[in-house]
Amino acid sequence: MHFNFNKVKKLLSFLLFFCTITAYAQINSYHVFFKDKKGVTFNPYNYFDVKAIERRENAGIPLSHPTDFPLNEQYIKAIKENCTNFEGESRWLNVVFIKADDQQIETISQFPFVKNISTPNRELRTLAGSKDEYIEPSYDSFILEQQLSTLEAKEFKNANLKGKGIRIAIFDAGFPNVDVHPAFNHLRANNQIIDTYDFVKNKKHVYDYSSHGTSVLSCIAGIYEGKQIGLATEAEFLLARTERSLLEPFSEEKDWLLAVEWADKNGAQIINSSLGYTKDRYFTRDMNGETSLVAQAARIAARKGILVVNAAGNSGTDKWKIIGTPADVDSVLSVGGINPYSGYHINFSSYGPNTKKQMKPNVSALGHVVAANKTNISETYGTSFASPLVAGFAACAWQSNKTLTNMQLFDELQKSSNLYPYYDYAHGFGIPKASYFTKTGSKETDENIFAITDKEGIISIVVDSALITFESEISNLNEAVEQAYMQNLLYTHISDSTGFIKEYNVIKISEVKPLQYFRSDYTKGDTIRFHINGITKEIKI
Amino acid sequence: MKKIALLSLLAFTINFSNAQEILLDEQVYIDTLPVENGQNGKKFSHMLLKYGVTLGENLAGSNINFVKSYEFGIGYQFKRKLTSFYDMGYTLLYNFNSYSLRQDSLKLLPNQTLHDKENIMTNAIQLQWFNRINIGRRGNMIKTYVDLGLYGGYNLARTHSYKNENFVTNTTSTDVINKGVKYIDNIEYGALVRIGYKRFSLYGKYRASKLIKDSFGYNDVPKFQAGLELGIF
Repeated sequence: MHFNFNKVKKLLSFLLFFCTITAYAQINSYHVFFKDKKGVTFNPYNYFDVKAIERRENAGIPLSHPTDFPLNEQYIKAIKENCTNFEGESRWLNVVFIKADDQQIETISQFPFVKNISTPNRELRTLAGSKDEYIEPSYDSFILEQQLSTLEAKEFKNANLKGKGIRIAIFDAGFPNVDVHPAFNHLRANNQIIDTYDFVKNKKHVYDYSSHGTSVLSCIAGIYEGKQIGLATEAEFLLARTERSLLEPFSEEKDWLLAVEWADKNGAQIINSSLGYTKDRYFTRDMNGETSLVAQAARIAARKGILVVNAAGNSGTDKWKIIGTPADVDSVLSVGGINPYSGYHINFSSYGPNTKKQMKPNVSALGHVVAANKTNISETYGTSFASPLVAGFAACAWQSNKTLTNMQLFDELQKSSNLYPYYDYAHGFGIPKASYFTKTGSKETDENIFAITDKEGIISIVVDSALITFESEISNLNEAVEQAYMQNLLYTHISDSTGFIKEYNVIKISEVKPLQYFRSDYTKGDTIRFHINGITKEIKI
Repeated sequence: MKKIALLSLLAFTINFSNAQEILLDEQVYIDTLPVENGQNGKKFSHMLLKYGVTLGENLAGSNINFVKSYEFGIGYQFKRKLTSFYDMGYTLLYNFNSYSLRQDSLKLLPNQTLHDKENIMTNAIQLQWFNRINIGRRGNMIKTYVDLGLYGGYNLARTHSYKNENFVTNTTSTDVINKGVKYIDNIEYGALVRIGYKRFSLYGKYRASKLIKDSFGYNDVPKFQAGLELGIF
């Protein structure tokens, strides 16, 4: 082995070369937050759409709030003079989005009006993810029927509740062929698409890129060959492209933030957002409804009277497992997925609660649906599609009672759901039911289908023998599905005195006494709840 | 296919319906445990695979065929997070190196005899020590990073091999493998750089030591190597 000075020189040169490369000053994206909005003026009647003013007035929200004020122009001017590229601004968060090099950002950080500077998220993904995919060129009419019947769509249809007069903003990765697709003929004919904007490319045209948004819109309002796909076929729409396609992997939360302010300004009453951030930027501990920029924006949107509906996420089978953000926000209606064949949680649907132990998801809808693609309709998976089903449902429900505020509607949607008042962190309160709002067609439920017994320290549930599912031969898929639907499910959870669930189960009822609990296993103040076919009973420890 | 699978699943489910069937069982405390481990946790370790090619300058008499020279490695990497952007770590590697010697009139290493194929090879155990600069914000995952480090290793096996086809019968060949050749040094060390994104990284390596000992009068083989690493996590 030899060692000489020349080798050391070469070695050091090699290291120095790569150090120089990595240390080279780069132009990066930054979020620059301002301390105040000193000296600005604001006229809500010049800024807001009539619908936005109407929404505020209905909800008793002041028309003039500091979060709506414009940013201080002098501050913006100073930033523009010291950055490479000015990419936008948010009134709500009093922030500007810029690109700057190290020297420029150092100068900006010295400005007295700058509160703080952060680097943005560089990855935003649709909840389409790997689990949302078109699976067959044709579709199963059973799925299409289920995605509507589970929500009792006929009840809304019979009451002529189709979301008329409700404005829904959809944030997605593109809406290709919505301008020509037959599933949206009625929207185009009646000018129901009020406005569009591509926040990624800064242009009006949104009818290209990922077809995820096309599918999502169809789950709210699509009608294909006379078949209804979503419920709110008469609602108005604002279409925003906030996410990028696979060929443009890097995007930022700012697009979502800019879109939510645009939606507010243009009078959106409901926002459907089928996107979420998870491990790319955050730890599970950050899913507290406060940390992420989109969570902060979603909270403000809710405070301004908008019902924000967000997909829970598709991480149920991943290591991440829990909901993403902004589905973690307490005032965002987070929507989980249901398996159309089994009638309960679809395996990939993300679980709650958020890290503040608040219940998530709030409600559920089918996570396996029939939706429009670029040319016709086909089956697709994902909580991305459960969310718009509920957004469409919410529009019809809101039409039935326009005096409701967004958060009152939020509560009503939860109360209308099939498991309510039972809840868990896989289904929330379950699937919303239209009959709750139309006050028609609700089934009589028999309180006596099960009873709770409490003897000698053992808590048992005893069910009516008619609920027991018996095995039988099956010869085809239809019979299998029919039998799966005939099975009665027992939902059960144990919660502490604050209502926080410690554990929960879904059990197929195959015995008269399907479940027993030992009192000694639980602490005083705990509650055990059971739910079967619309009946919820509980016992306190 | 989907329907058949579903039918089978449902048939299975229904056949066992006499047993109590728990369809969903969630222990919430597990989902709400703070996650301290993971790719961006305090400590993280994983297996890796690497494949690279040789680059650099051919020196007189020790010319190699760059296309046919390569290295392959399998190892275990450990890193410890010291700050939000800085990690330090090491990799324990088994590394196989093969230099295909060019067969021409200028050849001197290890002699002037020409063969159809001729290689010098090493099987080494190496230890890499690296400093990782993470670029940009990230959640609990490995994202974009640059590693700068040093490595050293011991060549467990030092081999020279050649092969000659029998052109007369076109059926047999002569294979000769010389093990433990003295002109290959058993110690190797150098510097490395890695630029990575998630589980993939491109690496560059400079060998500061001589693979071919000076005392035998041969020039060394090229010193740079570059390739792709795949983290298995």
